[in-house]
Amino acid sequence: MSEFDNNSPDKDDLPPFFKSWNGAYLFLMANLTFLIMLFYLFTRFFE
Amino acid sequence: MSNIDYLILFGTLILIVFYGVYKTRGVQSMDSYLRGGDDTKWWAIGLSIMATQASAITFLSTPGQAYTDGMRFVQFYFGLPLAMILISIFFLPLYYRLKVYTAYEYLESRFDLKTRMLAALIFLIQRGLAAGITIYAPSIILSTLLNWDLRITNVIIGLAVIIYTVSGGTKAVTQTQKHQMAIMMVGMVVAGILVITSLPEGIGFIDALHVAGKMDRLNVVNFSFDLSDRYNFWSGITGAVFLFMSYFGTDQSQVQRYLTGRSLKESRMGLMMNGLLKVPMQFVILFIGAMVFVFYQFSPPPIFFNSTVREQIRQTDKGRDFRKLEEDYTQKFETKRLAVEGLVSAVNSGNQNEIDQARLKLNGLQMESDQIRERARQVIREGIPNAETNDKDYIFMHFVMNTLPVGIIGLLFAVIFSAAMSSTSSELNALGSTTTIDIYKRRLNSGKTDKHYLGTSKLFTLIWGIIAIVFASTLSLFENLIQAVNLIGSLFYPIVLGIFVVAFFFKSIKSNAVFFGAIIGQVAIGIIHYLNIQGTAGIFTMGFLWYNAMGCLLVIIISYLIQIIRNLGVRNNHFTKS
Repeated sequence: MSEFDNNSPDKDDLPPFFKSWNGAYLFLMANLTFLIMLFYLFTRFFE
Repeated sequence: MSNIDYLILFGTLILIVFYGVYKTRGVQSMDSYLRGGDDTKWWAIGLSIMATQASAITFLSTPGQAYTDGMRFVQFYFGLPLAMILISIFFLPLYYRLKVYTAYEYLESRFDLKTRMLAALIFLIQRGLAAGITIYAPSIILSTLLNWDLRITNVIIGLAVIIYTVSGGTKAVTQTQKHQMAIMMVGMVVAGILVITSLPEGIGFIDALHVAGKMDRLNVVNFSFDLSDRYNFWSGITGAVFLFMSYFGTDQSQVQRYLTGRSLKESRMGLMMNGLLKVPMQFVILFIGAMVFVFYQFSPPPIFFNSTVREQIRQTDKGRDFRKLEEDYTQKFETKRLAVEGLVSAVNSGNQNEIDQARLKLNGLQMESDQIRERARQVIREGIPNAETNDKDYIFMHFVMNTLPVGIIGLLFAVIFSAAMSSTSSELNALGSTTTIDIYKRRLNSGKTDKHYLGTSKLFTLIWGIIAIVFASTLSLFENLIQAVNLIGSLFYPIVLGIFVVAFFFKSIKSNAVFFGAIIGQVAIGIIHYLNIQGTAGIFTMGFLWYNAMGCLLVIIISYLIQIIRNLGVRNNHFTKS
């Protein structure tokens, strides 16, 4: 990932709230993991 | 529908068209017309990406999907955030570095002209057919619900889109999609609140969740691995990733949305926004469908939700059989309602044994009720052989029209029309751009002025709009084309993705290898699909979603092998000559 970030034409163009794009991507994956866990608990609780 | 509803519906549509034309009246250059002037902010890009993907069928069909099959469809979107990340890392920087108008331009700089043409032509065929479907699919449902002529509905949607898309190009599409997306979000939130408040007195929100859950309508996540099961966790995070990478990374109708960004950062943020919001958005739409299902446990649903077909079958010689089934269905509903109330009491008592028994009884009654509905469908098939017997797409709007107050009905019809317009406008915009840049300017008439290409872009957008309306108007003659066109997408998408993946990651593979690899891969996917259809006869069965991973991998492997063989041939020639 970092290799591609360094090659990008806007390497100083960082996302808000994060020190790097990798941080933003990790946040997105963490959010997805959280949602899947939440949905799983939701499914199991009401079934 | 009341006059107030019509006023809200037409007022919304007219305002959107005028807004699109007014805001983009100064568009005078190709760059502005095809790339929106490169000044779009990230949140507008995010909304535009979401509005492009959200077609009218999303709002008509998805709640019905939850009503009949539960919420498991949401798993299909689990691969989307991952695809957004991969596109942000690998696709976007290259598109920005080369300052392309279309995704397929990149393929010429990496391979050659014929590979670019192959990908562009696949896009034009597939998206050209899909544009007709995007208009036709909601039109057939809306014309039935509103009692309008199908062709008039096609023309209203198509013409409204043509006016602002031809006039303002990409900028008009992005500007209008902000408002269309706002209408969709407001409409669905209002519908969600109203469906919950429409439940009978004494049935709270938690009771409704227990009823939906115990009747398998809240089956959001399933970790069981099954190749023949279209929607589960595994197909979502593997097969769907490939599908979304093809759609968002290589389909010009999406690529054009994020290339309007003022910088790489804005475009990436737009994709991140889509990755963050899409799964919850689909969850909410499906949840509304699950709540509509609970609503119809307390209020009698029709045996078949398409009222036009219902009236038609009553007029045929099968009408008597149908009416008998309707009576049986109503009786079963009354028995089932008592069982639902029994389940709610059991849940409130907290006695697990009582809950299990109530649940078992209720699900047995639901199965019997479903069997009566299936028999009704069979009677319809016998009485009206050409009738569409899948009424899933009518469930949500039946609820809206028969339950929700005046004004809200108009708002929800505006949601459906806005969704149809937002996805169609992106498609026409992309079709016009690809025809101009990849075909006309590159192959047929290069070296003309910017003004000339601006004019031809508008002309091609108009032509594609007219083709879409004409195609939509003739589709009723070929019912099974809808399925055929959806299938074309699944068959072609992975091949284009395979070409792009080879371009990004396999630098040793050259143009001829990938070109023939793509063609052989396409034939192979065709054969796999043929065997899959025969799967019902016992060869094998596979969900269509897996084609996306398989087709992409096939292109990579075949291209790689062709390149090795070519390299060996070159080396042998070299030795022979020396």
